Amino acid sequence: MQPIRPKSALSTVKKELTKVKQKKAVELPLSKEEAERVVREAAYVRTSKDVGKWQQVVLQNRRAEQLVFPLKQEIATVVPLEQVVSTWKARTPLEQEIFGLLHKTQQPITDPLLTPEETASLQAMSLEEARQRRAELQKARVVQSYYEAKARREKKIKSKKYHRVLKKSKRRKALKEFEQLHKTDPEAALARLEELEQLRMQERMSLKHQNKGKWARSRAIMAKYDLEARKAMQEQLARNKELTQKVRVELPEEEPSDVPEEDLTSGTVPAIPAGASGANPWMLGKPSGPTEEPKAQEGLENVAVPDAVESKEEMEEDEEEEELSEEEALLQDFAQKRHVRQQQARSLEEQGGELTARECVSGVLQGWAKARGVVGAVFCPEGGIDQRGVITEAFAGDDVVADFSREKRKAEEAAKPQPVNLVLPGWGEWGGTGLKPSARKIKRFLLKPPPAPPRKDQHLPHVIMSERRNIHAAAHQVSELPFPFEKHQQFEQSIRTPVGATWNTQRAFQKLTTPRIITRAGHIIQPLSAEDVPDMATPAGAGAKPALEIVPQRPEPPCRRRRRRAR
Amino acid sequence: MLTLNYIQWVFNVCVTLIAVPRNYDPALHPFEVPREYTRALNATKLERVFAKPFLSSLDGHRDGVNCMAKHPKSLSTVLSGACDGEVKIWNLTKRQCVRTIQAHEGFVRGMCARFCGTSFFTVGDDKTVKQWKMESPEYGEEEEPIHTILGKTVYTGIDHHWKEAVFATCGHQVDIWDEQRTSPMCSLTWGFDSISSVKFNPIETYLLGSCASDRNIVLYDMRKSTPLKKVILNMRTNTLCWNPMEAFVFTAANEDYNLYTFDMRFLESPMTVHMDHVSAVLDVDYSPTGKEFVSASFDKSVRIFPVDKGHSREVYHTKRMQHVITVKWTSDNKYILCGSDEMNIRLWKANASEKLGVLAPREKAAMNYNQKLKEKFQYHPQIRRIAQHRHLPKSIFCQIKEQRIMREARRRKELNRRKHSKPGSMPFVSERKKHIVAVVK
Repeated sequence: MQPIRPKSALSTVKKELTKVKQKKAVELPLSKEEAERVVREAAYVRTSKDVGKWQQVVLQNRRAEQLVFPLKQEIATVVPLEQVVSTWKARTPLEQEIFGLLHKTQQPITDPLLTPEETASLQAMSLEEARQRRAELQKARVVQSYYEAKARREKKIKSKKYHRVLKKSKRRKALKEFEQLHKTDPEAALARLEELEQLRMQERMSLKHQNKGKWARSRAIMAKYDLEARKAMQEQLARNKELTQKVRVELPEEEPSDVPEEDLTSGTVPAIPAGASGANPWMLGKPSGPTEEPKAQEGLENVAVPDAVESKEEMEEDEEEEELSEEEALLQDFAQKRHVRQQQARSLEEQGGELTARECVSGVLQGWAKARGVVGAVFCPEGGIDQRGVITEAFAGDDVVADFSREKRKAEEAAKPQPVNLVLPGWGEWGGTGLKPSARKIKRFLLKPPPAPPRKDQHLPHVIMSERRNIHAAAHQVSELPFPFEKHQQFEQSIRTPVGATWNTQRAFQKLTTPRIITRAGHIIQPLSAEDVPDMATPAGAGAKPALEIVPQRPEPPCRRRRRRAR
Repeated sequence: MLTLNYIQWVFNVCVTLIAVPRNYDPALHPFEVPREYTRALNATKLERVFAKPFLSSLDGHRDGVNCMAKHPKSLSTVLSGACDGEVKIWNLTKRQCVRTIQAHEGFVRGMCARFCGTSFFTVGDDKTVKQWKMESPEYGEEEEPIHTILGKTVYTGIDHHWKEAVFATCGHQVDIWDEQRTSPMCSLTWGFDSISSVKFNPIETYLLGSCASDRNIVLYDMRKSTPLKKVILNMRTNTLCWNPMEAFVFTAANEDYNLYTFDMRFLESPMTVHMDHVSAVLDVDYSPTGKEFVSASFDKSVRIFPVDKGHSREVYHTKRMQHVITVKWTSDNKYILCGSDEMNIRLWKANASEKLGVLAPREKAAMNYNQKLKEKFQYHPQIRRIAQHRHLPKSIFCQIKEQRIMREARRRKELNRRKHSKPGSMPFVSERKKHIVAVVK
């Protein structure tokens, strides 16, 4: 049996078809290449961003005035022991016990500069006291060091003259001191006398300064020819005489009461060696015997010594007189001149005439000449005016100013750019001898140059500045503006500022000449890393772009050229 | 701060007059500019007089030096690999070879030191990667590598990561290895060409750059294990080097006699084109300060370029030095080492007229002053003429002239074409973009 309504065989197919049409088709997967490309692009964009976080650092380094490598400069420091030790803690019971003991008595655990007791005592002392004490110590130290330095310096001096002078001055000082001592403290004076006696005895025994030693013998050979050597030998002998002298004290004979003292002193002097020198048995003699002879000698020596002293003093005085006389003479000269000048001035004032500098000078010169007794100096009172007259006579015919202005005009005319004359008679018109080309032709073919820029010496009537180009200087000058500069003034300013130490202070010179890159010898320079730049912006936070961006904006090639060509 | 203290001191100390040891009145010191100009001229001339950069030659290899590696912790050690498979370790202070290892059969294609300085890696024509100890073996021990990896293809270059225990080799593809494993962690490929060199970025240490024989430079990211971008140039790049102070800058040494400094983020055109060599540039290395780099070329010379300028500031050459294959700038910024075809490694000063050793403070001040004067007057023609004058060997000198003539001819022809064609039909292409063919994403 067949169904009433025949169903089409395609109905199922139709249903399936409608079903399928409703559903959307699954997308085709990308080909391998496409997929790879997408991945690559995404990765590239991400990586560019990551790498772009270094942009600021790189720009900073490029613009920096100075780069110091290696970037991480580690300075080796020694950690103080207290710091290291303070981190230590007692752990075992034994350690704790000992630690406690030490703490109780406030004993130091380590070996610090000041124990707690010392620090306490320091704090107990007031601040002011401490300051004063410190100041005192400092002063003492300074004084000490000064004297030490002075002594060191003086020890080093080798100059013979200096030492001779020093010896002389020392001797004089000693004498003066002795006299002083005698006045104030006679006992000390006696002691000093004794010392001198000792010296005398030594000299008599050893015979040191007798021109017998090695030095003296060698000098003796030279003494025949050399004045200095002779002098030195004589000095030695003189020293010997000096040392072997018996010392006699000179008292001023003002008071009669001193006379008995004199006798006393003169009497006691030979007694001292007898009594005081226990070590010298030969001196323990009868005072009566030697006193007579020494007395006589002493008398002579008394005369001799003061004479010597006196003569020395006289010599000095003479020298000083001579010096004084020279100085006096100069002073007198000046005073005279001044006097003369004042007289002149007064006289001229009375006259009521003008005082020219020359007259003054001539007056002074006159005075000077008179003082020196110069013969043959002819000065007339009107010397200056006469000279002037002579000069005007000599240069009467010269008009310097007019000559100069004429010369300047000539130079200006010569320097003016000349018009180029291209006129050729006869082309387009009649030509021949005696015929001039027409005005129109001249106007057309006489090329006038553009007016020259104003000369630099325009406003200076007494100066001619040559405007000619110096070839030898031009060889050293820059002809076109170099690349980094935009204006001529910038470049000129950069050249004008001096860099050297002659024109700048030392600090400025150092700052101006610091090198761009500094490296340390023997140190490896590592590549840049994130630790070297602690404040680098994160990739997300790199949104704030700087005003200046050199690299990301690729500048187009200059368009000016293009426009010109496109005409 | 300093000025403030000085003024305070002045007020405290003096009442009427400050005693100054010199009179700074400019009327007493006239003619500043001519005097300083003369001093600058003298300084420039003296710089040329004292420019003696060659220090010594390290002799010992029995075949051309193919690659070099710096010791990361020691300034006086340098490693070199030769074309007969020999690796030598040199002591620069004694200028002697300290250790010799027969590392490979065939060329030593690449070598690199580990960042800690205790070992180094070499790759050779015998398809092996070997790791060696930096210390000499004990008495009685034989020279043996710590580790050997046998590969299936020839490896042409190797570079070690700056911080992790990872290294990368290149040959057919770029492989990234973990030191403990014998098979690579991941292999990065893009196209079917052999890759001649690979370098890790010292700052962003997950970045790598490689140069392939397909005239392209490819950048890779190690973390995502994917290449990033490819830039195709006119001719093949031999090596590249990353700037140790600027994370996104690298310089590529190209066969077309130029070097190109790229910013990684903008590969469409290089930052600078450095032109001065007259033959293929074979190797490039950066100064540790990141301001200059040195390049070695097939034309038997070594040139030092500043990063921002298009021309070299210095050229080193010797009659005995033949094609320079590899060059390194030492980590203390003072010396340059170059290994050449004729089995010698030469040591040069980076700054030719520098005085080595300790300088007295007066000397230093005088040198700083002279340097500042030279910079101030560098645009003046006489000073520029003297400062840039370098003696060149005849071959290079004639080549430069010839290439200048060729360049002028090309430029003249281009101008003529532009003049006689419809305005606007010939666009101006900047020199930078002329050498880039395409950038592939």
